[in-house]
Amino acid sequence: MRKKRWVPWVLIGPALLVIVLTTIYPLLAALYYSFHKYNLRRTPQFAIQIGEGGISIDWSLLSLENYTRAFSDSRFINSLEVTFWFTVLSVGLSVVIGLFIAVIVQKGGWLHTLTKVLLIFPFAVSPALKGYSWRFMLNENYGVYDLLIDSLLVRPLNALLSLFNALPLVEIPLISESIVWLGDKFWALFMLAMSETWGWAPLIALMFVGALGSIDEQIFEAARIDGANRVQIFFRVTLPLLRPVILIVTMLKTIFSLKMFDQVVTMTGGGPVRATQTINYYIHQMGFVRSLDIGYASAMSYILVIVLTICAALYVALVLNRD
Amino acid sequence: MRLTRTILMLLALALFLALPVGGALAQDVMDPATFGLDASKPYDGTQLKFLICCSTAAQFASAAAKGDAEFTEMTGISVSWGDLPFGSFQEQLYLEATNPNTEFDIVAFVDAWGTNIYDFLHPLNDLVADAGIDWDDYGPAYQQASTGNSDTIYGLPFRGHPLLLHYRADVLEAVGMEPPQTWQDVSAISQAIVDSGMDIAPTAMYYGLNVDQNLFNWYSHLWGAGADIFDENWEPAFNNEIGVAATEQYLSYVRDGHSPAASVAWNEQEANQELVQGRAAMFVGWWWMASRMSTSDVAEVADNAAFAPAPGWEGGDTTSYGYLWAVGVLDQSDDRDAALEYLKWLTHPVTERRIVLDEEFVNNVAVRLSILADAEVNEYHNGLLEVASAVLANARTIPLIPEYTEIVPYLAEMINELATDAGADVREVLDRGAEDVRFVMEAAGYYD
Repeated sequence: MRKKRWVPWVLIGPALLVIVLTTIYPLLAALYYSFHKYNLRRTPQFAIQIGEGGISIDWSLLSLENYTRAFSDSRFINSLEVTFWFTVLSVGLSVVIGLFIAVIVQKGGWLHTLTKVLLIFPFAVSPALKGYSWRFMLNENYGVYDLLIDSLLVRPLNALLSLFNALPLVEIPLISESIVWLGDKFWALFMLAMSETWGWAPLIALMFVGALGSIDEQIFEAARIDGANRVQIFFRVTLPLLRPVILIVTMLKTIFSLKMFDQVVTMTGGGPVRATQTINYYIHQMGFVRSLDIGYASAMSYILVIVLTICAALYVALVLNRD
Repeated sequence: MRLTRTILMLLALALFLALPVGGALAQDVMDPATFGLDASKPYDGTQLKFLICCSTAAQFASAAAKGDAEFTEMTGISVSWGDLPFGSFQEQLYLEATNPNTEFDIVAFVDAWGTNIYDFLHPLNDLVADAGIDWDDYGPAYQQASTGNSDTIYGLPFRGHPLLLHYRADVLEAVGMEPPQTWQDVSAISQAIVDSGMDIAPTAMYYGLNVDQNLFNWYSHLWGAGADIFDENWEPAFNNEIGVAATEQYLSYVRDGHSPAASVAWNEQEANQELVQGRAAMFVGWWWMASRMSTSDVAEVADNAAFAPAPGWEGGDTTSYGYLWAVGVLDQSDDRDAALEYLKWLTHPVTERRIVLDEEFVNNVAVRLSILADAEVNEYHNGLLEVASAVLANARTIPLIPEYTEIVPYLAEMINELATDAGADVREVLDRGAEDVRFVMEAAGYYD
């Protein structure tokens, strides 16, 4: 029977067309723009010109200026640093808290099952709404998080410190109850990472619950027979067995953290000063709000694309290696 | 019995007399001639798209509703209002205005944003001349913002906002002070409130980074003191001696503890909430916020809601920022003439007056001097428009150059840095800000 080679192409054609139009074309267009002086305020001059005489290329209109400009732009360098620290904080917190939640809810029973179902909700909240909610909840006058942090953390700690200070030793200063969370450079970045963790940790917990469920119970049983306690079992048995999943989850979360944008807009506006201006936020500002400099914004986007591609390649390698 | 009959006859007479008057009023607003519209309906069936943000806000909703009911009836043109959140409106405006295939015909734009799309807007000088639009009915700040200080009219003033001081009359009365006329008075009253031991923040400022709102009151300080953003050669001038003094005064409210420490992260809305919820005694913000205070759920706030012109500088000016939303027609619109018809109706004094007297969508926002001085309108809004008119007489707009949208975030960051870092040296940070501004201006060729 003769194979109809065109059938697969027809079947994947529509999907391929959508990908070309929505992904490949914008990617190539942005790459092309990144080598041009292209500002929305002015009529652009592109290297490739299509005229009556056919297609001609004016090489003088192409340059690497946008790329070299990025690495001499202190604000772009700042956005790289901010993105790096945001990624470290949000990935670290999401994975650790996710693992902690997973260990708690992994057992059977209706309460655990219900908790697992509820865990998906924070992830389902839109990032922009997450930012608005956190801004509201961190308000010093009526924010519920501000109240909780003060009541459950700061005041008990201060009470302990006061007891310690009553001894004739060194005096430790008390923690302020009036920290302006979004008005302090460190705390603003930390809270931005926390808002991201709030959404991601439960999802990561569900991934870990699945991984924990796939570990053979006999391994734990053997460890217990050998006299290992719960802490030893967790660190010497569970964690090593979860290592491949931890790596995959870390890489996946890293990719998403590097793209942080929505909460910056709605929660911090990039502030205080430039403390939460991530790369994506800065690209958006330069391309569509401040300068309308599409050429420069495209070049910065491609620098981000290179970083993301490396992460994505690592992620794929990890997944394939695991399989 | 005779008395009842007499009363009934009088009522019937009153009704008889009232009918033609009411009929005449109804006829006026439904008569195309009132607005200079073409009664032959040459654009019947045309559908226009209007790019605007926040169309559910009372100041916009009233116009949208009246347009649907009346303008469409008179002309056959229907207008669909976009409803984008303010935060993403600027970006969408630029994208649509520069898009040759945009589906939008009419755009609303804020003064500073307009400079980036002037090349894509249809000049309205002919419309103003042909339709007999009284250009002098708009204050100087609004004229500047609509023309970019040129001879070309890019947009017609549509919604505009002067800055007012909103305050608690009871708190000021308790400390025996009159409403402040200068920023220095604000400091003195604030200190008196602190000294009185009252459990209320004297002022609620907003120094946070949020659509550059932390610059609104900085401009008033700067201009009032006699400084400016640029000098006549487009060199940054806000970092001179006067600029430093003005900025120090602007920062003094949070640095002296007169504005809550959290105000370093607040936007305008959050600061206003402090006043509306009874936690602050004074707030300087847009005039439309007056109704929030008078309708506050906190009885002592609503009962003591008061407003006055935004403060000026002691021994200096009372110049403040007059913020304008203008409405223009995109050059690439296929239905430009129909869009111009809509502008005639939308910005007509009869429409503006009815919007500001609307009982369904209560709002005080008017831009024409004649409406601001209108006795009935002022009676309806407790004299708010008269006070606003006095502020607008001295108001001005920001530098109307395309590069200013690129500069504004640098200035906002500069102010935010000074507010969040109490130890930061004002001169040093302003100098750094001036370098950033100069870099942008130099790249744009201003010093060639």
